[in-house]
Amino acid sequence: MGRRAKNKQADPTPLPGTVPDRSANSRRQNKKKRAPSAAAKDEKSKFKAPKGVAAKSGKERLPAHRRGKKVDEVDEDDSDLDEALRPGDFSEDEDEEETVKVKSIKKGKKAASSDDEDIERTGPVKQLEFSDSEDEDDQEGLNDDDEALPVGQHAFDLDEAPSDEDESDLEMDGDDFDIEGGSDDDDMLDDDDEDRDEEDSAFASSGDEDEAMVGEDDDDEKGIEGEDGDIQTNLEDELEETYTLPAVDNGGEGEEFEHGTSLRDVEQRMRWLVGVCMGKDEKTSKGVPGKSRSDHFVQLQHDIATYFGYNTFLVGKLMKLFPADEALAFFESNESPRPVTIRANTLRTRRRDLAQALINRGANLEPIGKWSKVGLQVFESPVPIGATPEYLAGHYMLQAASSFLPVIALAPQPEERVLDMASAPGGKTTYISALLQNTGIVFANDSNKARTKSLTANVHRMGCKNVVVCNYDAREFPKVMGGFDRVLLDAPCSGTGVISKDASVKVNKTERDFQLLAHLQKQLILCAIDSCNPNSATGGYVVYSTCSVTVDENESVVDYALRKRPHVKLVETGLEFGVPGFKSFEGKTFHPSVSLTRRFYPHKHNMDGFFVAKFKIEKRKKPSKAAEVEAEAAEEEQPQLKLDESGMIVEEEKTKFDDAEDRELIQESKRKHLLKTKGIKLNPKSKPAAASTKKGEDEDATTKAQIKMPKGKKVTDSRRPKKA
Amino acid sequence: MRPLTEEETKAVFEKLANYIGKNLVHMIDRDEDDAYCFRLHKDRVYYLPLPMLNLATSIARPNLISLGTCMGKFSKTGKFKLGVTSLDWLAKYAKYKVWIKPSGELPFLYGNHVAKAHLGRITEDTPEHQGVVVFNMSDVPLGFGVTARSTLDTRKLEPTGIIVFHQADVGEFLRDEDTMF
Amino acid sequence: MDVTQELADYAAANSTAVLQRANPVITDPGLLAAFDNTPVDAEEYSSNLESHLLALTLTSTQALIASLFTLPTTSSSSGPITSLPAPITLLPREKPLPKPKPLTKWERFAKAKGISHKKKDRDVWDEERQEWVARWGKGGKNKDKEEQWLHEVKAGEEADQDPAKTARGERKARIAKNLKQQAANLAAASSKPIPISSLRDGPSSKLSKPSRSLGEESQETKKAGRDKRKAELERSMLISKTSTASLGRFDEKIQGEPKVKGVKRKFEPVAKTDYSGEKESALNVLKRIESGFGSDKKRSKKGGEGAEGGLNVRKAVRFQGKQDRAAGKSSSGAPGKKGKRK
Repeated sequence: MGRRAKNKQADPTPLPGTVPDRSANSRRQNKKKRAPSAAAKDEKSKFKAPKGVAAKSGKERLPAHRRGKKVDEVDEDDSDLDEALRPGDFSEDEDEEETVKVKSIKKGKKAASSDDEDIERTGPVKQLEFSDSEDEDDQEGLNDDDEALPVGQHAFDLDEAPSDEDESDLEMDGDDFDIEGGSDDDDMLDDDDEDRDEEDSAFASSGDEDEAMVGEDDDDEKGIEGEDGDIQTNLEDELEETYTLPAVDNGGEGEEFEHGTSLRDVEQRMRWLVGVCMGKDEKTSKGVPGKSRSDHFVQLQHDIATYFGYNTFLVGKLMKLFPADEALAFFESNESPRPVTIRANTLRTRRRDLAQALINRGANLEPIGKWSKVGLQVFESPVPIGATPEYLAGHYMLQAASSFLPVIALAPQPEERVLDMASAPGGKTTYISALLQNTGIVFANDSNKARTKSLTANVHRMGCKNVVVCNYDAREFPKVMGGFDRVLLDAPCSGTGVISKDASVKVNKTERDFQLLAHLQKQLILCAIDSCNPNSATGGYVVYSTCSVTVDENESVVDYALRKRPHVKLVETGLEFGVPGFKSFEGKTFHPSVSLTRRFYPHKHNMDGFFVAKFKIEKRKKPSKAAEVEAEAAEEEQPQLKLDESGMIVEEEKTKFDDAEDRELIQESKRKHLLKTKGIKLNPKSKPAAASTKKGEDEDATTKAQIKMPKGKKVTDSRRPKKA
Repeated sequence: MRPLTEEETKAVFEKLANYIGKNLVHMIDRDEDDAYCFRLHKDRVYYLPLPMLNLATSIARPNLISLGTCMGKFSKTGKFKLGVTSLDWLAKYAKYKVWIKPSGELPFLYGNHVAKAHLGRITEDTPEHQGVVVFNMSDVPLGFGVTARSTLDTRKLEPTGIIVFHQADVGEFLRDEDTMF
Repeated sequence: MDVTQELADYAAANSTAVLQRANPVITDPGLLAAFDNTPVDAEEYSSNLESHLLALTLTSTQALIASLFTLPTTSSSSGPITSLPAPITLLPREKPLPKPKPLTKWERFAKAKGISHKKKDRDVWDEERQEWVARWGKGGKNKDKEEQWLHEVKAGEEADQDPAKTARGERKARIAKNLKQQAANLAAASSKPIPISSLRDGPSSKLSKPSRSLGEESQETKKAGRDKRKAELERSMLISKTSTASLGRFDEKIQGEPKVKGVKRKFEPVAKTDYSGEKESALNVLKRIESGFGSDKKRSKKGGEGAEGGLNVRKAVRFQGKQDRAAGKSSSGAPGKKGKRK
């Protein structure tokens, strides 16, 4: 109890919903009263003391990174954000901000007050300004403690010029803003007075008023005032609340952040919009009349971006993946961390022995699920799980559950040669090594030299004796070495599936990032396919996985690989759970076998967002001679219509093929193809000899000698032998 | 990556023999299908199976980071120091072992020497200054060290006396993770 | 009592029986030598060797002393003094004849060309001063250029050179060149590189030493020696070319310099088809260690450094010495306490 004790220990106020009056007046007076104490208070930091208060304070302000200006504020608020953003945690009580945040009605003032908010709150000087007015108000406000002025009577602030009747409320709030810095203080002060808050929030009218005010702010042009009518509603009547779609009204992306709505309101609106967009429930799905469903959708995206702290681009991208309610669940699940999981190292111990040992140390754990025989989920542990003697002895590895999946899909067999193209920090590599039972060889590659250190350390700690660690750019791979039985490519991705681990993904991913990543992933997957040995007795599998949920990093990369490497096909991943991959998305259709890939979501499977695809590499086949002849014949038969000089359509003469020239061209293109796909450099002259050494080719001598038309290569202008 | 020269082989074997004695033969002379060899790469000695060696030669020197098991490294002055990563092999072939009680595990893992109070068991007839492998009571290898006293002398020692000098322990994976590789 | 025998014995013992020699004993008082050239009397030798030899010695010595007394004497404070005459006998050489020194480079050239050596005088006639001036040394003519106070500078020459310095520099260079040539000559002569610094005293210091033992060095061995030195030089040059590191950073490579060959150590190939050789050598190493190992185990670590068989020789000797001293100062020539100190 401190300075604000008098505020905290207000008289018990009636429960919310019982006393319907006292709408704006009490609020205004409360604010006035609190303003002086705000003066006394210099920094926001001091009001962190009560837990609930602290939470509220955090919630009420926009997320720190978006506010951006005041350094000390940012720090404090951030810590509260997580707590704050937990859905449904909002107490009923912090609706003061809405009034605080609402800009003054006049547009000119709007700018000013926005500046006000951003200006560093200096205490005393500004407070002094309105201390005079406060005295007056205090007297009035004293009355207010017990009973508010009856509705309709407003306690005018003599300092302010009276404005419209309708906007009296707003004006009062505007007063608040005119007090520089007062608004901000009011934020904090609001938190102190929970009772007041309750009182005020009981009036969902406040919500409405806000909406109304917002609507007025933003809809000056449109002048929609339908919502102004309902000033007073009760909490129970929330369903009858009406919302506006400010983001839409502002012209979509124009104004990124909507000012003047509390997070609570944003959340409410968001949930309502989800209902609208789902269109299931008649009651809730009315929507704002006059606005289309897509408008509601846009508003929903904005609200999600606001509420959860994403940039709108990413929200838009992710929203396309799910229906609205699932999307909301997805975003919500990204706010909370996934459970800590460990993997028992079968080279050194058994899961049950390990579980026993850790339980003896006091940890609380249980097996991860039926789908894994080595995974354990740790609920809580008195000792740090990453520092127990068992950990140091290499009995287990801290590894996310989703990381188990690609290795389970890969299913390496003992005595195989396996490549892991992006293996740091080593969870998957050591799992592979454990499955191989320390036989065979694992090549663990990582392009980042610093991360190979931790990779090597983990490899040694877990007792994997069959691992070679190297540091190449993974795109070099078939050149360095090929002929692997299995290849695992856990491609670098945008990380949209692991937002719960790294919240910065919410804001720092742009369109360009996705483009670059997709390009890189496509290159990598082709390299992975080329490094795999199709003739392998037991293998010939490539697993592609990402910790991302976006389609352009997952299905489209897989589809690209299937197109570019026709001898490759998708097979069952072997994972029983998981959502099948999308066969088409946003107008793009993928190869039908893409449904064999698996997607994992945090909200469905309680693990990080993940994607796994398993390819089987088959032998490359040369097109058969019969097919070639047919192709040739087909082409020759088509009369080529061409415009001659005079512009008349003339049937072109049948072109004759110059075999010798064609042969050269074919050879040249084959050489280039080899170079591009496999990195095999051939001397242009010696190409015919080298062609026979291509891996996986089953050319016999006869076919080699013959001239083959490459499949699908039409005789175009450039290739047509030039004749006079 | 290259094979070890005579002197280097001698240095390595001497160190190893200090811990595993005659069993060193089993590390050098193994079955044909399970043959291992020693190779030197950037001052570190690696112990790896022969099939791996044939494949690993395709990796260029600047890109190769680690092979098989790292036994230890040569210092700039040419002395060989066994590393904790060789613990698996040492534990497998160790001649002299020391078991420590649960109360003594953590101090050892922090890098302290083993006091007599933490001693659980010790193999008989351990001479002084002998390389030993340290286990915990559930036979999990924790590290290795050098005895300070022979088994007989240990009996006469007071409980706070040191019986095993710490050389390496698995706690280094956490303590020295930055400098390990 | 019959003392005649004793008397006869005494007389015989003290008699100075001088044997009669067929050839007279030749004495060379200059060398204090007496030469007895009569053939050996085999009978006497076999019968009574000792007394005969004694008699012979007596004879020759008597002759020598007699010859000494025939020399002219001068009297001095301490008695008559005679000075020995010159020796008559020709003695053979004590040391072998010196090998002819190999001709120096100039000598070979002069010999081939037929240039004869004209001895230069120390003084040179100076026309200007009309007197004899030293050619070299103090006030020598060779230093004139450096010491004159006025120098004429020809048109077209650089004016800011110091002619005295230049002249001095040239002189020094000539001296250095000459020393180098001498060193080269000596090196060639002795087939051993001679540092120039040792020639400062003059080449004669080196030349006076005999170069090689008897028997000229054959061309082949000389060539082998030269080649060996050359190879060593090349190797050290190569090594120094690459070892330019300072604080861990190497010098930048000079463009156009050919790549040095032969600097790398040779190692076994990394991967082979047959690893049995490697295994064998490893086992050998192991054996060597283990043989040392067994003795290591048995060796008591508390005993301090022990040599063979764990015996500390120094201590044993000390102990022994102590015991001996305790037993009565009869140390049997053992080194004792300080014996081992070097």
